[in-house]
Amino acid sequence: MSASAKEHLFALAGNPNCGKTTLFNAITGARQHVGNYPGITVEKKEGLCSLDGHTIRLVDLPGTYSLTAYSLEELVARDFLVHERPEVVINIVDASNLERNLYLTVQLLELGVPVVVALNMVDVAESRGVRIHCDELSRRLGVPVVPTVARRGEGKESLLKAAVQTSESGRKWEPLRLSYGADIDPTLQDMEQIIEEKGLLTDLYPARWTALKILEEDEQVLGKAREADPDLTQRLLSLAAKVITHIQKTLDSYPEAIIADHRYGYISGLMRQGIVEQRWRGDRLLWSDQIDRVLTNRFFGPLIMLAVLYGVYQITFTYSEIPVGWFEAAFSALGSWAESVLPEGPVRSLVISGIINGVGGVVGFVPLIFLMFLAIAFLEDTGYLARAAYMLDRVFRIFGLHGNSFMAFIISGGIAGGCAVPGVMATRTLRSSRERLATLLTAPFMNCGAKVPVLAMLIAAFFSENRAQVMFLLTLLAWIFALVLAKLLRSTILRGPSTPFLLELPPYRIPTFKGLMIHTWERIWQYVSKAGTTILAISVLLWALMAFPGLPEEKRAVFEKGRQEVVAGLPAEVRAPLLAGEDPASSDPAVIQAATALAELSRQEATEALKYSFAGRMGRALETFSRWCGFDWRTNVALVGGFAAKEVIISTLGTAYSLGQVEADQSLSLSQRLQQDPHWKPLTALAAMIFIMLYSPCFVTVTCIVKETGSWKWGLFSMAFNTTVAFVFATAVYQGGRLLGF
Amino acid sequence: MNWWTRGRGSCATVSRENGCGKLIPLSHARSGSRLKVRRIDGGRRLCARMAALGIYPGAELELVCAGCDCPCLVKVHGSTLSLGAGISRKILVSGPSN
Repeated sequence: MSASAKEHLFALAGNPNCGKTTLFNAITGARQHVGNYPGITVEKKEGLCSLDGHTIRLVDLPGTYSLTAYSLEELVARDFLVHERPEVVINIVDASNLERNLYLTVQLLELGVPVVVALNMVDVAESRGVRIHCDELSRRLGVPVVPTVARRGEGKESLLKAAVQTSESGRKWEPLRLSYGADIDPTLQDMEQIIEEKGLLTDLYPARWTALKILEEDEQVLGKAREADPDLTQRLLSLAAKVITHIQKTLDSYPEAIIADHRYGYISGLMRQGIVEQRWRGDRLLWSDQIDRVLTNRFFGPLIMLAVLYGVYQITFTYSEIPVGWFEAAFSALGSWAESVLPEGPVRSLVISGIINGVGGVVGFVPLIFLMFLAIAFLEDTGYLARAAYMLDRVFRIFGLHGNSFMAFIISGGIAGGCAVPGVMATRTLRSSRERLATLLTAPFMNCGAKVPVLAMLIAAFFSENRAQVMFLLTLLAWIFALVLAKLLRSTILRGPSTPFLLELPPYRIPTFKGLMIHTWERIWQYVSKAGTTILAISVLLWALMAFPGLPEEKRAVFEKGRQEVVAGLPAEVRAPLLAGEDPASSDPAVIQAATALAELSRQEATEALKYSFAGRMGRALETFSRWCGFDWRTNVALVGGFAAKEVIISTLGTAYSLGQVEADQSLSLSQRLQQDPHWKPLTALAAMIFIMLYSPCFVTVTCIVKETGSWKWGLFSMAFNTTVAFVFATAVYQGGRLLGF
Repeated sequence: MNWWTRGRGSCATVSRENGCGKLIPLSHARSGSRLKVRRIDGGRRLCARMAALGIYPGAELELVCAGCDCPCLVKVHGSTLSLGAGISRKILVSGPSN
């Protein structure tokens, strides 16, 4: 194989917020692939690029501050380096925060991987009057150092060239040997020697690294070592224990502190004389800090945050209205086309009701989700999101949640009208699995954009004098339920300490257009492809439940006979078009009357068919429970249908109340119908609204929960838990209301 | 490293080469002050995590916004960190270094 045909594998490593993703985007552009590392939610990004005939596969490792085993990100990064053995690790170092960024560099060097340092944001450092001498830094570190400005793509060519050169030079893994002082060094040396002799894990890690990790009691390395040689591991551990006790006794400290101290000592040694040149003093208060003075101010901060959130909400829902309309129009055009092309029968019904309407209902949300994600990507890339989490941590902590939970709640419909699907995905920013689970299980209680039209319809029917107040009350209730139930979960099945709040607030930056687009596109694509396949399957299933079994022959015959009776008295030439359901071309009052009567018959037949179908039977079977909260079988069918998507509740109620197809925007006629129905009272409506607000998330959300938690268990739990909660509260409201005489 | 010998109490007075400094938890320090990290209590894990973020015995930091229940903001090296009360209680600092 010639050298030019070979594919190089490089990895990008660096601290969070050092411009790693920006550089990755600048190098690979759109040629990237986002996936998950197997079994966990840490994103794995890969991209391809080429340079002078070399093909380079670049893997963006998760942002980490060090290489311990304390977080998933660090484990992922470490495992990738050890198992995949990239030829070169491009370590991005923020020039304006050199010392701390080099802490990771030192650990990479200690692991021994060939490193090329990208000294990023040299422009920011320059603007603060700081110049860093790359050549000297490179000489002292013993690795190439290339200055870059990731935002503008500056230096990426020379960076890749340096990386290719390093990989072509065939540099072996050469671990850097640091001294950790008189207390640790002798024992470490002994341990290293033993490991080297016995060949413990030497195929994976350098001996000194293994010794260091055993001293740090690193769970993962210990596990691997025990598997390879339990006796030897025990021996090494007892050696380590001696040092640990010694350090605790004489210095009242931990080995970690001493190791860190020596690493930073090594770094400050590196930086001494001639690396960093402070040419002039930049303003003590940088503009980022000045913005923070206002945006995180005790009084103005929360106010500004509310305004920002309101703005996001407004932008998303106002500007998505028109394109959402286009999508709906496109799908209904597609439906009409299918109707004209396909012959009548189950196939046509499947294609139109099952596939086009089901998938269209979800794909129709794409413009909304696009804008929502764009707004969030903007807030995230500017650095504002971290500030909002910081300000809200205090409130959410009371309920066992975390500052980062708030975005998931807001997106899910915290200001009525979001969507739980991106909301559930937004919980990725939460590190602790318990807090994350509590957040993603309670976020679907919020009033999403699909519940809003259903609630609005019921409000219009029964509480028309106080529409705004009732809607506001429902939004408030959603928050109360979500927070209180989160507290309940966190003090029962998800009990555990709350993670201390620890977050780096990145300096404010103006996001790059490219970065925003790539981030938004990634998420949109995930939504469309992953949810799209499941949606197709379940909407077909729900269609089948509502379409089968069809009415038995004798019942159909009764309706057919009724139709024949209606048209019996009419002239022969109008009979066929009338029976085919076409608009009567005649202005003859008898014909129009007959058409109305036929339509009424079709509606009754649809209701009858729905009652007879599996879904209808299910609805009737559920009446045993549902009468406690005042629902009859028709409401039950609608609620079962609402599991597909909450908007379906309106159309199913419409079918069930024999209105034929009811579109969401024609809901008033359904409102009137419900108002006149003796079964529906304001109390029933209130119980129904509470039930709809709280019961099982729609299946797209459930699939998302399954995907995000990595197990079906939590998906099923959210369905059962939320439905139970909904049932309990709807029953309480209905029975309580009846006792009070409503 | 002899200035963090002994003294588990949160407000112990320890002697160091150039004078005396009172150890207080970061959560009790005043806004706007420059402080020197003296010790990290609360286990090896926290100690390692803090070191990776640049907070280790000997590091200098600036308290931008003090705690009082909500997370405090500190500037260390070039970055701004927000630390919850659970953490800032365990970081022992001494007054302005001079």
